[in-house]
Parts: sequence; C-alpha cells; structure tokens
Amino acid sequence: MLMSKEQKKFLGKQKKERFFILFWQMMIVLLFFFGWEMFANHKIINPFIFSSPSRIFLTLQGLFVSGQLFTHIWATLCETIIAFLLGISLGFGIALLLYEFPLFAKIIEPFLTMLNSLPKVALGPIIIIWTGANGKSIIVMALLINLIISILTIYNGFVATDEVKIKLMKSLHANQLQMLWYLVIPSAWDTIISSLKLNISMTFIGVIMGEFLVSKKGIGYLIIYGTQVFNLNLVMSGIFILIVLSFFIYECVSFIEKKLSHR
Amino acid sequence: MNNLFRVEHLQKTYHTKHGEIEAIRDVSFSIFEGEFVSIIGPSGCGKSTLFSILVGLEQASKGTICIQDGKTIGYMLQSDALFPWLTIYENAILGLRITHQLTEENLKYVQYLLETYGLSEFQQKYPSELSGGMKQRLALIRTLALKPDILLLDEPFSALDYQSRLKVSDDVYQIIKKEKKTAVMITHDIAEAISLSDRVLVFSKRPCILKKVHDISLSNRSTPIENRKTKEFSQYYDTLWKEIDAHV
Repeated sequence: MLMSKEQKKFLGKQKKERFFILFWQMMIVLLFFFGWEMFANHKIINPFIFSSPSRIFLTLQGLFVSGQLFTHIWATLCETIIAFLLGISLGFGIALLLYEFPLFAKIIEPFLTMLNSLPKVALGPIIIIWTGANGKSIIVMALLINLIISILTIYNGFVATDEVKIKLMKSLHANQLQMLWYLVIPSAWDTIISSLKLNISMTFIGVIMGEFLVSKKGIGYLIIYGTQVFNLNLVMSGIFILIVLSFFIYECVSFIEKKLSHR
Repeated sequence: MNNLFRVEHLQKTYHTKHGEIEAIRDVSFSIFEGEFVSIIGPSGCGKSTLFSILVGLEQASKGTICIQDGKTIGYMLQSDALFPWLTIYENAILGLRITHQLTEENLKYVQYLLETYGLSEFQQKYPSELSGGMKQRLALIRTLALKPDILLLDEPFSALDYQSRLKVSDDVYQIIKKEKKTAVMITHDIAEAISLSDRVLVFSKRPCILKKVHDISLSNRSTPIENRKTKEFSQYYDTLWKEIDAHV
C-alpha cells in the first residue's frame, strides 16, 4: 500500500520518539552504574558497605564458576512457581465456592477482609514452628500473601457478571453448572487473567520473605547470609539477581496473559 | 381467534426491609394467536415483573397464567445480552446449547435465520463488530432459534438511537410477522406501540393495574414506519398520551 507523505512523517516521528525514550533509559542505567563505580573507587562512598558494580560483577562471576548461582536461582524459581500455581488454583476454587454459596460468602467476608489487611509477615515465626524450618514453610508463607488477594479479585470478577445475561440464562433454564461454564467463568476470564500479574508479584514477595526467615538456598538466603557475614558484595549481587529475575518472571506472566486473554 | 394464553387476576407483592411493595394488582388479559400486543405504562411500574413471572423467573403472589398446551415462550431482554467472547454463530445457538437441542434440524433453522436476516457472512465474527441494529437482530435470532410460539419483548429497542430505532423496529416487526409469531412487547414509546401493534394495553404506575385496552385499527396498515403516516395514528397518539399522562 502506498503511504502518504504525512503518514510517513507521522511514523518517522513515532520511531524517533521511541528511540529517544530507549536512549535515555539506557543512559540512566549507564550513568547510574558508572557514577556508582566512580564514587566507590574514589572513596566518596564507602565501598565496603555500598559495594560497587565491578565488585558485584566479580561476586557474580565467582558464584557462577562455583555453580552456586543457578542453584540459588533455581531454588527461588521453583518455590515461586509452586506457590504461584497453588495460589491461583486454590484462589479460583475458593472464589467459586464463595460465589456458589452467597450465604457462606456473607458469613466469611469480614474474616477475609481481616486476613487481607493483616501483615502476613507477622505470622512467619508461627509458620516455621508449625511446618518446620524447611521449604514447606516458604511455600506456606508465599501462599499466605498471594491467596487472599487472589480469592478476593477472582470472586469480585464472578460477582460482576452482568445481571441481564444472568436473567437470559435463567430464562433458558440453565442449570448451575451451565451458568458457570457458559457465563460466569468466561465473563470473569479477563479479571482472572489480570489477577495473575498481581499474584506473581505477591508470590515473589512471599518467597523472598520466607527465604529470609528460613532457608538454606535461594536468592533470599543469599541476601540474608551476606548481611550476616557483612559481605555487602554478596547482598548487592543478590538484589541485582532479584531485579533481573523478577523482571523476567513478570514478562513471562505478561506473555501468558496475552496468550490467554480473549482475543 | 385462538386464545394462546391468559393471565387471570395476577398479583405480585415484593417484600423488602422497608415493607411491602405492591408491584402488580389484579391484572387479567388474553393474548390471541398471531397478535402483536404492546404494553405501555410509566417506567418503574411492574411491566418487566409481569414478563419475569410469565417466563417463570419469578413467582406470582396470586392469580394464574394459563398457556395453551405445548406452546412455548421466548424472552427477548431489554439489552441484547450477547456474549462478547462468543462468535455470532455461537451466540445464535446459545439457547439451543443450553437446552440440549443442538439437532441438525435446529442448526439448519439457525442457518436459515442468519442467512435470511443478513448475518450469515458475519458468523465467525464477534458481537463487538456488529452495529446496534445487527446485535438486536442477532438477539432475536437467538430467541427464535428455540422456535417459541410467543415472543416476549422487553423494551427491545431502548438501547438504540432514534434513527436505528425506527429501522430496527421495522426489521424486527417484519421478522416476527414472517416467522408467524405472536408477540407481546413492553415499551414506553407511544408511537412505537401504535405503529407496531394490533392492540395496546395501558398500565398505570405502581401498583401496576391494567387501565385500558385499545384495538388499533389503521387504514391501509403496512410497515411500522408507514403506519406512522396514517391519519388514525395521531388520534391514537393523543388518546394514549392523555391516558398515560393522567395516570402518572
């Protein structure tokens, strides 16, 4: 198709803008690392407590060579995935129950609100005592943080089903299962899918929290261990890995979201 | 004419926290085969409740509804209520699917309806790609797919702008006549009621009481839009206008 001059100009302008934004984003990152390195080298900031990009790089290299890097990443990733899958399936199931039994939902609502506003981290020590100091308690911790919000989001999606469509289904004498399968779940589908993003960030918080409290491997362990032995290079490396990992996980979920959402 | 269904001394009372609300008081009327009847009255009176009772969504507090043996009712709601995640075709067969009637014969009938009423080329598209009038036609096809004998239309055109409203009401009227259905339509548009109906039932505001029944006889009756041009039209309009006004 032939493009008009104005259209070409418009597209060119858009391209230029995208390039401009990307350029400055790169610049910020570069300046940040460069400045950090310079300040640390000239002892303007204390490299012992602030570390520096080159020290982080060396630490990461060391972790990579010894093979520990992927052991830790893998541990955190596994815990996150397990807690995430458990969180959405349990959240979906419980939300469905609440929707199907409105009286039950009314009874339980204040308790859910209470649990939702409670800082779940406070329950950490109890969880360790109850489930033992092992991987299980990390999963439980993450579940505590992601489950309630999943239930509430998905349940709200179900409740928001269009009244007129419900009336239509009722006038067709649809049974409860058909109601769910043909109307309630599809109409809440986009809400369910967008709750995945919320869920994954919550899960990640929970997993790191859990690793802080009790663990022998994982990124959270790396950070807490680094603090204990006052190796700030290790702590900063852990945080760096965390940033990259969370970005990666978030992008994965965004991709899944795009694939699963309606058209 | 054949008496298709009869409503006798129908009464409906709602119970709320703030007391009882009488929605419908002692309403009786009959609908005959092949008729197009409009129900008009101020908004907020129990007209929609009446339909809900007829379809079985709600229970009447008192009174009876007698439907001729083997006759079925199809309900077309206020908004088109199409499912945006289903294609046009899947929307059209939704009723058949829910009621487990996906037979070859019924599917052929849906095909016939889609083709006859200009939607067959959009079958694999989604409702968001249709115009307001097409959506309304699709909603009607979804209702017709179940081959009901009586159609209940609850303000079927209220979501449309004035221009398409005239056009779509013409369309829907033609379809209903062509498929030889009996129809009862709720509206608050006096002109719409006169131009489409054989009879108009006037209801009062809450509690809903049947105030008056008008037989509409227009000289050279044709399509709803043409009907608006007949000389009797304005007379009926005046009469109905005063009646509704008096009851508000």
